[in-house]
Amino acid sequence: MLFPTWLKILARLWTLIFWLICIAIPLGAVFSNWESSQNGSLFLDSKILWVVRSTVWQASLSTLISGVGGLLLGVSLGHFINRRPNSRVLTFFAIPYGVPAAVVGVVWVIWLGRAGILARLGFFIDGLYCLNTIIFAHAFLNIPLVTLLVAQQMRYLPLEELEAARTLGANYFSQLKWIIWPQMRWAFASALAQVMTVCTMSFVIVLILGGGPPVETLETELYQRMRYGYSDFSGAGICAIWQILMTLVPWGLVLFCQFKQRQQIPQLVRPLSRQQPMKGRVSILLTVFYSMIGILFIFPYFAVINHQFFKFIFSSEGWSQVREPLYWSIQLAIFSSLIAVFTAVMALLSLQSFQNCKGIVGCLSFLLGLPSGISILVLGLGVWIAYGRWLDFFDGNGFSLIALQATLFFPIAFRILWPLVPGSPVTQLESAGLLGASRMEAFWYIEWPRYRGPIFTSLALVAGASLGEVGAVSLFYSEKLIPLPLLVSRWMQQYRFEDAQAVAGFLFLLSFALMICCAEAVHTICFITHK
Amino acid sequence: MFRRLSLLFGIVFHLTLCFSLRNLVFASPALPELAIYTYDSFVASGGLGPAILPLFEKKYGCHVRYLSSGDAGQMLTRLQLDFKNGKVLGQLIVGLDQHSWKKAKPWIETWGDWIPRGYAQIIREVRIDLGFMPYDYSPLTWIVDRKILEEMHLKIPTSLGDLLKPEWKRKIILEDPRASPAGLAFLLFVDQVFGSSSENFWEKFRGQWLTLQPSWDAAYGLFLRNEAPLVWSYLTSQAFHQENGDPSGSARRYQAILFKEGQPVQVEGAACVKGAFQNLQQKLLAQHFLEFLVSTEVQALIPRTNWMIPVIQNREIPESFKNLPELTRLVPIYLEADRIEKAIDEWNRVVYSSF
Repeated sequence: MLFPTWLKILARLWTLIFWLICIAIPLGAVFSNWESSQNGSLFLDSKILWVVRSTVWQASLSTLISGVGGLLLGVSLGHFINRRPNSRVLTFFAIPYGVPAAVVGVVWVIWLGRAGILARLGFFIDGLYCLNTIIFAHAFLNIPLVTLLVAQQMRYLPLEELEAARTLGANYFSQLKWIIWPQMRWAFASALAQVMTVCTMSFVIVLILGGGPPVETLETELYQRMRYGYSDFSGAGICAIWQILMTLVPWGLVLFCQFKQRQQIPQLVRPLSRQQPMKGRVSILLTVFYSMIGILFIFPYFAVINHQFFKFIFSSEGWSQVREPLYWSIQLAIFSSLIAVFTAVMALLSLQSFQNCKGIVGCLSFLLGLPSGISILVLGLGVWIAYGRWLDFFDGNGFSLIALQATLFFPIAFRILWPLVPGSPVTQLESAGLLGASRMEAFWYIEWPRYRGPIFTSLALVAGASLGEVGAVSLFYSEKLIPLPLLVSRWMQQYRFEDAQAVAGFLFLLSFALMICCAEAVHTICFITHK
Repeated sequence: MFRRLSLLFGIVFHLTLCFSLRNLVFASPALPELAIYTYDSFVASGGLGPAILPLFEKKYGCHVRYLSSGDAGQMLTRLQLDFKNGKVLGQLIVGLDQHSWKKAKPWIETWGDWIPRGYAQIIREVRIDLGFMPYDYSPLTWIVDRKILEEMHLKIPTSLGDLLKPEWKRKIILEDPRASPAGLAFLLFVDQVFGSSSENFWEKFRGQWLTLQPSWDAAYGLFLRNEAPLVWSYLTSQAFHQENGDPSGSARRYQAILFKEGQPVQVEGAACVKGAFQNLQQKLLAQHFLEFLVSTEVQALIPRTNWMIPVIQNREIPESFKNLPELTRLVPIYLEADRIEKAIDEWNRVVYSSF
């Protein structure tokens, strides 16, 4: 893309300032806190070590179950998708990823509580408020993600080799072992590492479903040390350092696996039409079957859409109470998404100049992508320590909330937009320039159509994620600044369960609508790319 | 395009200018201001704050601003950080209890020779220290849901020992002593009752609770959602239910139960912040506010807004408060910060001792 020099300088300046203020200084503040924590002796404090162990145990078990379930389902779904490439079944498996964590917590209380749906149906399971419930909720949320990633990787199977193996008499397990598994192991490992990171950073699910001590993870411990009772910033800092160590390792693995995966894919790309498309009754039956499985992973979340929800939503009193939190949530979603996408575009412009130096690009991408591997509570703690002298966080701080959410979600936008950079139609742009088009016109007619879809998808994805985000909101809220996810937990605590569930339902529908739009957009982009 | 942008900018600029001029012309003369550090539920709608604030403002012709900060512990953290950063914003702190009082003392302005009007009328048991102005109190106890109890064929427990019985496993909701004053009161109560053998109690008790919530609100919320038949709460919770439709007498669903070992008490109070007054007028306002808290008009509002017991003698209380169980034994809770910290450390060690 031929951009003027001033714009490139501005982009570099913005990216650098953003990185320094929102990532480097807060992270530095967390590590500088080390000295105040009795010279690090707290690092090996038995209570913190206990919580570290508990976090590893919880995240590992959740990942294992999600991995096994997702692999089996993903391989099976992958075979089906290869024969029905136009099928929209994958959309069902993408949706759970957009369900806000607060809704997940509320939903499992609705289903599994003593007064829950299952208990009323006579199937009471005394399993709520313990580690098992957290693992179950995590697995239920992440199996579709692993399934999706594995099924998508199955598109790249070497069909000739599979055909040859079949001709030579290899059974399915031999094909799986020698052909399918080597092609998808990095995608699977990457999916596992992503799930591990997500489960390690899980906050509100543990908070709602764990039931407090002794079920605790580093996230809840960190939050408790910051926002419950007397704040203990030294202890919170040590928890944050442990948390950084624990989340950066799987995140590093994700990057490594994705690198390996990218190395594999170019050799494996082949037209989808080579495989015989599936037709007839079997195809319909299988579509219904996989759709049902996909719906199974979404269905429980609809428990928040009950008669109480409609009663609340259609009452003027309900609206008047939700209006302000909704206004805050929408404001947060709009500003966070705009800043995140704008920063991603600025970062792309900055990196574009180094396009040919892969080492520099890799290094800068790593530094810019750091927030993906760091929990929002850790960044929040850093912001609190670094800027607490100047900003009053106890009084609610919308600015910090927006900055934190934009920092957390900007790598999402960056990852969506990054693949567009190498495909810049330089020749067309140059021709347009030669034919007298201004830079603005050339950009508008040649570049913008390529960017439009991914930019709007990023905006919608970040807005959706911001709507359901609880970590930053829990740190920087006040009585004057309560967005929807916090209102849910507030009302749960004020005995207004039906109202809280109604708001959770409202939040779920908002995120659901955004996810449908995104899934459709992503599907369209993938489909066009594959064609 | 440029013209449109200019037009838009012009409109925004003029509107801003009009608003600024309007504020300059019509601004009311500045009222003396008082800022108060407090916890969220004090200022939440339906709480004591919104009920008494307009009364005070009207009476003394001032403006009161709340600096709410989450829970009671956070309120103290905020005060501590404000002192550290050298920008103390509030002149009063409202919502301290007897446990946080010792911790807050370094940042509290002493009364000196001044004794608030009405202080002598406060019942002796809740007068913790000079400088601490108590405005309400309540014994803490277990509240039982008799309906669920009957469904589960359980008998009402009468002692701490009863809670260790297998039939009570995962049927108790408690507050986290590190985060909640109510939870801390239970921890100190157990420590007072069992002394050196309290460790044994916690070892057995750690498997009994269904959940340990960070705040009383959260714990009571779960209790009301029928998640468990027993919750650690305030004696006055029974009055709350009666006022909200729960029948009195034997038909009562939510009942406060007294244990053989007795009950601890929580006292809430307010105090002046050290060196926070900008002028004498503000200091006088703060003193008036402390006196206002124990005035008959505020004390009359406490039962139905804060759901606690007023602190002044011979006060009028609602019928539901008169029906509360008669206390036979109040357990005095020690207040030394070192001992409290030691009890919490020991609790931490026992609760997190195995995986």
